[in-house]
Amino acid sequence: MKELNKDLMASSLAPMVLLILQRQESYGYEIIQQLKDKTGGELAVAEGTLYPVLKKMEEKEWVESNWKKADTGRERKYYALTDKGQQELEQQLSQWTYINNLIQKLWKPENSISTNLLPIMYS
Amino acid sequence: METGKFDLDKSVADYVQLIQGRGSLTGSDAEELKGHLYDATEALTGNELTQEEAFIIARKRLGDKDMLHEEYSKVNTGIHVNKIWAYMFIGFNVLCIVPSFGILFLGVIELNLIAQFLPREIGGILITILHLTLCLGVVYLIKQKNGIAAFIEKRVQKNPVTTVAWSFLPVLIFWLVKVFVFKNNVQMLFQFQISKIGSNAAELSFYTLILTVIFGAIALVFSAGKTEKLTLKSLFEKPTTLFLILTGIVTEFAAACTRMIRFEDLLIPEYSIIPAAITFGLVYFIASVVISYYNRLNNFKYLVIFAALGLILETSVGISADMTRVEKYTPFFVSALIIGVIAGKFLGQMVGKNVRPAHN
Repeated sequence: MKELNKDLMASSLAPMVLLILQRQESYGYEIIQQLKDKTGGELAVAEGTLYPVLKKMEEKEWVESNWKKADTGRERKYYALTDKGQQELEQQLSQWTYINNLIQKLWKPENSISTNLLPIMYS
Repeated sequence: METGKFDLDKSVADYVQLIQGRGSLTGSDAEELKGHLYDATEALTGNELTQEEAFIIARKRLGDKDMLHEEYSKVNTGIHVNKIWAYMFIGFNVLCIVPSFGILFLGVIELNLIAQFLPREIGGILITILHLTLCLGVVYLIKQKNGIAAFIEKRVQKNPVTTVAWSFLPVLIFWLVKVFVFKNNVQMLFQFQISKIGSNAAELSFYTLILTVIFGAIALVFSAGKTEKLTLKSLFEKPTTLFLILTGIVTEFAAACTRMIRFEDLLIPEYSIIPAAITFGLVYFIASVVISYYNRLNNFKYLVIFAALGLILETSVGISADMTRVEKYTPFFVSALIIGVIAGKFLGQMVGKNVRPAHN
């Protein structure tokens, strides 16, 4: 199971949830299951922490929620992506891509920290 | 594990209640978490797991209650703000109703029961005992302030609406008693006059009770910004100017109340001023000992601030009173005040030096 840094997890959870909601509206437990499926069950995150993240996103109007009655008879809170959420998702994805490219570039031996900085750091 | 005895509804409700008890969940959040636990338990049940085992796993995966409280409190900041209003309503009700009940209680017991049915001497003694017991009760309640605050906080965290509603109950009872029980005697009950009892001890102990309540309120307010328990040390060590002035006012009133002791009835009337002045100075002496004990250094400054108002009052009011009477009492009381404070300073310092050498 991959243990992610808490801050990194917190900042990456939002775009992942938005990506899931981009396909269709969903509820907390189902969102978590989808996250688990996509990561092959490797993501170690306390399931309950998703709900405050969803609340924060609702506050920012990226998602909207509705209580609906499930087949079991119990009520479930469904979340759907809003237009503002869609824009935010696109923005976040471009930012993640940018950061990812930057890290990749820095990681390459010719430009990387390991060739230029590490010898100095450990000398 | 025996599934037969396991109650999923209760287990789900209990766990969510545990998180909700920490005070950062709204009702909607609690319902959502319950739904999650039901969904997770349902999905896990069957794969060689009983419902109870499935619930335990679901609960573990949901997360620890402290961590969830921490995460929810980041997004539900409004809950904290809203609860401040609950505390304000409760505080308003308590502060309104406690003194009203106190006066009603004393009025009924003292003026209507004891004073009417018992001889003056016995009634006076009983009322004095009652006042002194209430004084101890007030001190006890103030010492229990952490416990009382924790109780109210727990209730408000758990259910703010119900707690505020309960705090209105004494107000309602008071109103009902006032209107329906004492409809003919309301004026008499509320115009509570301790002097009608005709006992100096009862009157003196009544004022002692009032001053205990006032000083208790001052102690509660001044301990608000401190982390340690409410003790004489936490109150008097490095006191603020305002606290010293307020303590000075309470001390002056307490000292002035001792004039109710009628030494002229006990001793030779001509010399009664001497024990009266000594008793007056004794009150200042005790307060001065406490201040000096907890402030072995710089206590001169503290004592001057503490005694200044009393000294001004005694001198100015005393001289103007002396002008209208034959006896001249002011020099006695002013001297007693000064001697009491100075003697208290030296005793407090001396005892403090031996008992608390590590501080100051």
